[in-house]
Amino acid sequence: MLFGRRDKREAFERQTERLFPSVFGTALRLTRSREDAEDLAQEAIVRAYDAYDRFDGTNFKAWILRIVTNLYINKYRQRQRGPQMGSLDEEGALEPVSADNELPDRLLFDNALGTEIEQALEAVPVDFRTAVILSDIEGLSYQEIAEATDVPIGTVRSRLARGRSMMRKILEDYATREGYLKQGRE
Amino acid sequence: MNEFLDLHALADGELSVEQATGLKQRVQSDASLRREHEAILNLKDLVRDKSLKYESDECWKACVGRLNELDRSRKVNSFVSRYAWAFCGVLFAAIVGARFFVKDVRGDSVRAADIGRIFPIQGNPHAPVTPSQMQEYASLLNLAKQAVDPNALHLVCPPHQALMGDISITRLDLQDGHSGVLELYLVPAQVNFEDTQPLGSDPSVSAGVIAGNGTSLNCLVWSSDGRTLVLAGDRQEADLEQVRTELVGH
Repeated sequence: MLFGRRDKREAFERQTERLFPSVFGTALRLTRSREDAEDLAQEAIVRAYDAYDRFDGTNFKAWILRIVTNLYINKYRQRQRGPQMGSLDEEGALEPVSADNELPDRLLFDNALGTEIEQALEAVPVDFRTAVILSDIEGLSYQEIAEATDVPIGTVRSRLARGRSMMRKILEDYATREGYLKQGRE
Repeated sequence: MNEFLDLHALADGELSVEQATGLKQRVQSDASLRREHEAILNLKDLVRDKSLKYESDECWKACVGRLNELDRSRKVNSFVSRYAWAFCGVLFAAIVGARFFVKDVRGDSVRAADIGRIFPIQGNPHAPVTPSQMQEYASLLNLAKQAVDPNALHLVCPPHQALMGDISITRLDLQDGHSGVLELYLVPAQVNFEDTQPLGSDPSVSAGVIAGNGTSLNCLVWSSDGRTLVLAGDRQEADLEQVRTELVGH
């Protein structure tokens, strides 16, 4: 029993240490506050360790990021009272996005830490930001994002599309400068 | 299915083979779809390539610390829950053992107030005292190294005995020249009467009160030759001390 627990701890620590930059980065991008991100990441790790026996062994990264996201939604989001936007239907995702009126009400994120990408993410409302982070930075599938955020896959698709549209608006000049977008194209 | 969302799904590899094939053909033939598709792919690359890799070592160390704490508390909980019954048993045994220990240590300690209660019935002053009882009286006092002038202090009724715990105590009801019966208790052991106080400057004699049949009597307690004597009567301590001095002195 004792050895079993030690083995479990070692296995958990080995897996988590490798993925911890993703855990912390996601926590930081969601909370936009280093202090909150540290709390969120630590609490998520403790909860994951508690629930490690129930991990099905398939995708550890998706599993632990799901814990981070769920914890953020259930605990930190209410506390932070960040901008809330309900899920949009797929038609709504096609509507043009104005970056100016989507700025977050709190800029807790340390701008010194941010690049253009981080600042653009910061300007995107949290539901859409979460989808973009989990998909484009962490590489989770739609199904995994749906489980992490507890919404249907259709909502994930629309959030992702809308979040990317917002990012494109904000990053257009930067993307062109960096050669990711050709001049004259949106 | 909305084509705009399908373009994102195509870029994310989330379409079925059939859907992806059909959409790719449309993307190839439609310039605006192609531009949109490329823009999505480029944005994905941009976000992936240019997003920051945050320093997280300190936070990871804090997490390891939290996990260590968790493991420690789990170990303690597991140990306690597994051996809780044993703990209870040991605690119970310790309490019982302590009680026996205390009883054993304090076995030679009694309360003077209780000595009167074990003789609930007063001796009958009219009962004749036989010569053998007188002899017993004398020998008891003699054993306790007490001497008495039978004319000054005589037995008014036969000695009677009672048990205090496992000690057999003898009570002698005595009469001297004054009114009122004196009670002399002979305890065949060295006992400590915890509710008595030293009498004056003589630490070998202590004074207290014993409870009788609805009355309280002053008493003096002293030891002699491994026995304990208690002299009680409805008198002042000084008067009792005078009688005691006569007992010891003769």
